[in-house]
Amino acid sequence: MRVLFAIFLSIFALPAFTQEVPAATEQQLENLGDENLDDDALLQQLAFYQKAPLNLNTAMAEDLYPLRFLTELQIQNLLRYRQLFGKLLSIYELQAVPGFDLLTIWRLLPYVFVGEVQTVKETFSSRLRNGSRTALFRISRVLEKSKGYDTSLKTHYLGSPDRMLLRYTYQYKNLLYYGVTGEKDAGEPFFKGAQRWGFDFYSFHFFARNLGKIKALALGDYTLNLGQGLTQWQALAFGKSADAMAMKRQAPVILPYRSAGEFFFNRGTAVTLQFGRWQVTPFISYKKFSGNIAADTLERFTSFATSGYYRTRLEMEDRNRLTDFSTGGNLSYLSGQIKMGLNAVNHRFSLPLQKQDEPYNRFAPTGKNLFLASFDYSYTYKNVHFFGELAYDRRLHRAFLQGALVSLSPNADLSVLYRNLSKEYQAPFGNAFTESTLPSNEQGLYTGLQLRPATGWQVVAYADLYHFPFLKYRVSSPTRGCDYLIQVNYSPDKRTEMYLRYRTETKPLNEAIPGAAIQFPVDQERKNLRLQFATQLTPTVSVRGRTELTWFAKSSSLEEGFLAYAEAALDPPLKWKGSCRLQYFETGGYDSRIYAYESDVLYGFSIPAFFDKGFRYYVNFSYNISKRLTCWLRFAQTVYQKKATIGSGLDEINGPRKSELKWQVRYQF
Amino acid sequence: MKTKLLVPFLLLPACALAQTSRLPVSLAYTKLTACSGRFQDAFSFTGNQGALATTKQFAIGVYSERRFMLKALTASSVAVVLPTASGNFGFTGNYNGDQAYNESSLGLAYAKALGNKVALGVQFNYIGIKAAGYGSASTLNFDAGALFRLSPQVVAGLHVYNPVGGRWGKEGLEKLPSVYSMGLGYDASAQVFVGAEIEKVEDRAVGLNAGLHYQLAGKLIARAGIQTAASVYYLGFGIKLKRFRFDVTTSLHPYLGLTPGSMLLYTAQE
Repeated sequence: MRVLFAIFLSIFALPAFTQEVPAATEQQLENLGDENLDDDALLQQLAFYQKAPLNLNTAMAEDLYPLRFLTELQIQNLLRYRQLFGKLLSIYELQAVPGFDLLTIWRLLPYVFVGEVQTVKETFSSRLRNGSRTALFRISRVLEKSKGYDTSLKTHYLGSPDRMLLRYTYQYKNLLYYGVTGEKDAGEPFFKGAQRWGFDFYSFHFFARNLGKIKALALGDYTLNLGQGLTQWQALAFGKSADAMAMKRQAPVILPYRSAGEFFFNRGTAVTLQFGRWQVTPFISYKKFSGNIAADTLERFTSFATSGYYRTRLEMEDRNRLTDFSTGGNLSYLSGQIKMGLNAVNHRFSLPLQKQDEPYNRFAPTGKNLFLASFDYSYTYKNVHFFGELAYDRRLHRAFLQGALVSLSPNADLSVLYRNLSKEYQAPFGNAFTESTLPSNEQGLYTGLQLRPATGWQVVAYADLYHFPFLKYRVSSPTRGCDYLIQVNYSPDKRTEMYLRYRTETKPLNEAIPGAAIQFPVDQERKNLRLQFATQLTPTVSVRGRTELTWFAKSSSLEEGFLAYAEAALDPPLKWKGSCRLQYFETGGYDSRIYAYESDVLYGFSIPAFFDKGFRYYVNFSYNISKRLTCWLRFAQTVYQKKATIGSGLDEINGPRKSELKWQVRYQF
Repeated sequence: MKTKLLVPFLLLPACALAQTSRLPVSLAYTKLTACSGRFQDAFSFTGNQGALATTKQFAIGVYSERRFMLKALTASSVAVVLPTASGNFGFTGNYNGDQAYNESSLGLAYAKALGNKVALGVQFNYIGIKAAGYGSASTLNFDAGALFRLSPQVVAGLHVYNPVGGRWGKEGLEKLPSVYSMGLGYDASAQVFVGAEIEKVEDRAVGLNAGLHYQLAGKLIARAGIQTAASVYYLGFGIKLKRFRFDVTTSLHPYLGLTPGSMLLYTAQE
């Protein structure tokens, strides 16, 4: 049996230094656009599953959620299939489970296996001893000197241009996590000034699961994820994407926080207790955070600073001067096909929040206290999975979200989501499936369809019509927008995948007319066409390529963009691996920018936006010094044509080139 | 045979569908199943006359809606399918508006199947408009459609409405728009049909009409879809009783509101 186990592991487990993210997840990450991506929890979890694949015969729902390309219906069908027919005998038996087609199974292969159900009693001491420990250090730097490092300027960066990450983590399956993280951004001082303790950001986490009645326990830094995100959701969450069925937020209420992002987490303690069908999760958090502090008529802060940059004297003045004391809880009832939850969260800030006095801030949250409560549920009836959340704030302003996932037939799925979030409802820490960044001031209906007409083929489409009943930043009236997408995926076999995607987005934004007395919003239409393929030519060599066109239309102007790249990756049965990419892009300006997901060092994110005209290339190299020690090296350079400077403000670089060098080393023991 | 199949492709640059302005807004609802092998009803051929050729039974349907909830914008349609040994005949009639202003049309369609993979159809229409105090005007035009069965589950359709003609008035200055469309229908399973078409109305932006027809367990059906040219969603539910089917429909326009409607279909025994 152990031999079979070993064979399974060797066939299905890719070496842990490949950072292969499914194409759909790549797109979801690209769609996050300009948001700062520091939360690598998803990459960490996927890398963990690649190294220690999940046993499909023992996996519970929480174990399957990090595999983002599985929908709630698929997960429920798998659990029900196991209940009815016992354990799976082979991974290809998944085809008998409703909703699992060959394409999904091929995507799952690197992360799962089918093995014996071993009921091992997990004593706490065995968890403390038998896990894996990882020490990771990463340093990266933009080689060209930007304006911010010119010390002769009045405002300049006070630290070195290195960006560093140091992380020690311990993980035992999904049952025990603990570790520390230290992070410094480029430009922040190190062991100097405000960062005299070394790194600018430190984080400690301790997280345990399934200790008798304690279903989950978090000490230190953790993320809180309530309902469908209308009140508070801090884990990484995606919006609309080519995965049209992924519109339901699904994650356990508390999760360990192991990333280097400096804002989206709670710091304190939380515990989930299970009493039969009931689960209760009280939590408490006391965290220092930064915000723009204004002290004219009333000492207050006007916005949350989420970037985590403390490089200049001005940024450091406002560093961590505010505190947020947050308490609340979740009460859930789970029984068979039905799940209900009651959520409540209260924040108390050390200074009152009062945004700038602009018309679009008329309903913005104000005051020292923020209280939100919601009721969420999910219910599966035959082939339909209903879910929804109803949230209220202290003054009974309402936000409402209702969705359904329908499995129409073995080869067709439908998803529908209706949201109605009133303009007065404000949730600064929420993250729901909405067009806006925050769940407020929006009404919309989203419908998605996924067809699997033949083996290896998949057609995905969505339509989202939305309406903002009140003003927004840079939108001076109520407006409407619509987004459409259609994508055709074709995967003739396990080694090859290609897709063609067409997407259009129409959203109004104020027209910047200099000297105009009244600003009014004008429709901006963005169209995008992409063709991508990826194939593994031999077990050692794999290639991928992409061509993308975009069109940005506003009033009478039209801007076009083009991007094409080719990438090759080498994975020989030796101690090293490498990949390189060559890319050309040409766009009319910033509005027609194109985002492209890049391969990076393990756990690293690189999704730059490309605009204007130029070339980009990068080379990744990783080397296994020993069984426990691995190091990575990455060099990336963008060469613009006809550009004297790159970037703006303190990040401005003289010259047409911008290069980045990154080095990472990991020791596992 | 293959070159003969190419000819319709060359002649018809794209496909056409009925206009969205003069006929009921949720016409998309009634014509959705034009490219379906399984779910055709009396109204299917109004989307593509080729669909007439594949119906084997006598069918009749009536549809009525109150556009944007305004009585003055009531629209009604009737469709009849008459199969004969030498091809099938269809008849449609539309009446939109009220005493003050109304548009009506009568159409006579004929379609024939060429083998079991191709079906061609043509329809001649008489259109009249009448405005109280202004008099009336009428015109004649035609539309034509072709269906191609690409596989047992997939049907492709091409349709053009009013490519030439359709002019009003003495000098023929005002013209009914030409509509070109190309559609694809996929019978995903015995219960599900998905249809989509790209439609180009003359002087308007290209739009995509996509819809889903779902046969719920028992006697219920549900139909939903979207018309991207005007960002309109539509939804309807129907109940089947022996030879009859009764549908209640609604469509939602982002600015102009709801359009409730109802449909009654009768299909004779085979």
